[in-house]
Amino acid sequence: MAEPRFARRQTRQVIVGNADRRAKGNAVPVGGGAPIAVQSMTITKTADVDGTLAQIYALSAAGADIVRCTCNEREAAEGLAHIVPRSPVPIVADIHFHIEMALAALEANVDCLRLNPGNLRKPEENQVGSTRMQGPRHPGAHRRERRLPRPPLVQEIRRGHPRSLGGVGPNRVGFVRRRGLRRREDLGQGVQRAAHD
Amino acid sequence: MRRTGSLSEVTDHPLHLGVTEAGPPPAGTIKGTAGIGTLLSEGIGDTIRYSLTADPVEEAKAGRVLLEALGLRERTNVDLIACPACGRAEIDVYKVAQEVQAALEGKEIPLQVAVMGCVVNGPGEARSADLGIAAGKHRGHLFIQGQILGGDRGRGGGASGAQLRNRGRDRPAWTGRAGRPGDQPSEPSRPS
Repeated sequence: MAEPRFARRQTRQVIVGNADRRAKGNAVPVGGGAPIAVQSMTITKTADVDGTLAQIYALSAAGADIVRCTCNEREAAEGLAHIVPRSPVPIVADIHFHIEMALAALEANVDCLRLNPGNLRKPEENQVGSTRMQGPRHPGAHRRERRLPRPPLVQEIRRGHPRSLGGVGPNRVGFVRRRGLRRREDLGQGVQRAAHD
Repeated sequence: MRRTGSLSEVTDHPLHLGVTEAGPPPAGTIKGTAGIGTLLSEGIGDTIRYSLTADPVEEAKAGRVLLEALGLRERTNVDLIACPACGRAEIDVYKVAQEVQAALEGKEIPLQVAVMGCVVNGPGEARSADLGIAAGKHRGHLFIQGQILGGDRGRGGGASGAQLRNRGRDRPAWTGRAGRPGDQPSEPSRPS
């Protein structure tokens, strides 16, 4: 059976894994000539730590290199804090709408964030009193209470998590859905623009 | 697909591929393969996910199967190749293949197994697989790493699913044992 090997485009390499995982040597390199990584996503409530871990183990056994878990509520972020250190594979927190959940996932020492810059709420929508503000409270909540404009996500993450993130770059924000990008825009620029928006 | 392709021209960031909301298998798997496989064949993509309306284990399996089929990841699981069966087949290929699949299900062995029903493609495929049976008229052969281990004249396709299954059970890691015909040094991922 012929097995063609395709010439792969060269990219920079992203290491998916928090500091603990890197130290243990089971972080997963993505790009830069690394084997193509298989992902899947758990369908359990992330707050259900044991159920989610059982599924993560099953996915890992079936060939998943990286597993994504939703981080859609505070209980999910709390679950991640227990799941991440026990998971055999890096865990990506799947973030939609709520910048707060991105920060909570980082607090939980998650291995990677997956943001959708196209649907993160604009600052005014996260102000106190906004009818659309549904996000749980988080370390930056005081800013809402003072009704100050939320600083861009980039700055906020840099401010709160300089060690773990070092900015919105490929190291922690590895997989960004491309829907939010303008055409022919650099992925990193797209993340930053979306965050600034 | 177009967008991801053009994105890959302007950024050196690794890219994730997936066809979202593809639906349940098999159609969802096929749609995923159409999108992911096409871009992979252009060298684009560093991580992939099949989005299936199914147990997520199926997503992970599908991802591995695609990468292994494209030669982009080393084989870690059993690869069962079998002819589609046709009017030429001398055995019930479908039944034998199902038996083999059931026997090898879940085994993490980098092993290629061929179940072939006739003399047109059978001997070639069975010979080039790690383990293969090829049925012929009134005769069948069991191949182990290219060498004929057993043949049976008189029963149509004598090498049976049970025979294959027993071989697989005897030597799950397929490391080969001294003194048996067809033994070769262990090769975790045999290029074929």
